[in-house]
Amino acid sequence: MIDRKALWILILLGLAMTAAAIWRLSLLPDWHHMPMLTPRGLVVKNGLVLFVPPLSLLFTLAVVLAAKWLVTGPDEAIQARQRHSRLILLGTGMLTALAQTFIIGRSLGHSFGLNPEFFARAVLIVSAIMLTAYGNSMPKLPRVSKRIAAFDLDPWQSARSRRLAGRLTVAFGLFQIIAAVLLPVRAITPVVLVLALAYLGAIFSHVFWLKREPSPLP
Amino acid sequence: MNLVFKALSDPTRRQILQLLRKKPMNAGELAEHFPIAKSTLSAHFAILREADLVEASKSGTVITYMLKASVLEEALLAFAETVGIGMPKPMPLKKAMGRAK
Repeated sequence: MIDRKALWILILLGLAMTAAAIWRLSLLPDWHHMPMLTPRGLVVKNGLVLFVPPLSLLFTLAVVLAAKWLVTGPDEAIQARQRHSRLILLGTGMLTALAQTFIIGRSLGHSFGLNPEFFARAVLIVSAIMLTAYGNSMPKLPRVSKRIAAFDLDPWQSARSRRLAGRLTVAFGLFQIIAAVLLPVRAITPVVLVLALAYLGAIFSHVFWLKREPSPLP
Repeated sequence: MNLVFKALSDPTRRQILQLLRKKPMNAGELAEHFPIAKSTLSAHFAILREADLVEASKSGTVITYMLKASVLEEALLAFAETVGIGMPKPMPLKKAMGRAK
């Protein structure tokens, strides 16, 4: 779910990030070997790392557009959902753009006076806070119909599904904050990925379980 | 947020929300759980709707209520229920003993 203005901002941001990555690669004699400034000095990385932030943004956009295609309903309900997701989408766009700027800057020898580890943790914490706020208001979203029958729920089933999704999203966000503060940086990504898969599995299995339960609504 | 705190400060309204957590109910079904006048119950529903904690859908003459609380509001509900906000204060032990005699 996304409104047109936020969609255009994200598309332009994605194009600018991709152009910046291509520009940085064009300066390298060999794109497999890109120098990167770290606290331990200069290290060599694969230039493809520059495409991680624009690809993350592209993935977010793909998920959002798929969700937009999946739902139908009254304009009022669709607009309420668009308003709800606007902040997290624009926030994701800003964080990925910031990450891209930081990576390119470091590959050009600028440290911005920031420790990369601290920067990674800060990005994770900010995204987790946005996720927690997003999850908190999920149960208040109006119900919309789904184009695929397997996902279409009646108002009560939909409310229950949104309540569980909200709780899990808040728990996920809080866990991400704890992981970003306590875990070593190398361990955070695999832990968060495993947790994200478990989160998706729980939500989908709950939807299928709800479909089998008799609804109390007439 | 003030409206939410006001709504959650009353034990009857909290009990309504607890009942709606289990399943959607119409006004008549909810009234069976409370020994109070229907007009009083209607006032409680109005406060809950104003705080955006319940959603009412009308079908003919029947209004069905459904819980619509955010994750934080549900946590506040659980907290208020645990602490017993708005509940009558327990009688001092001496007074209670005197009455028992």
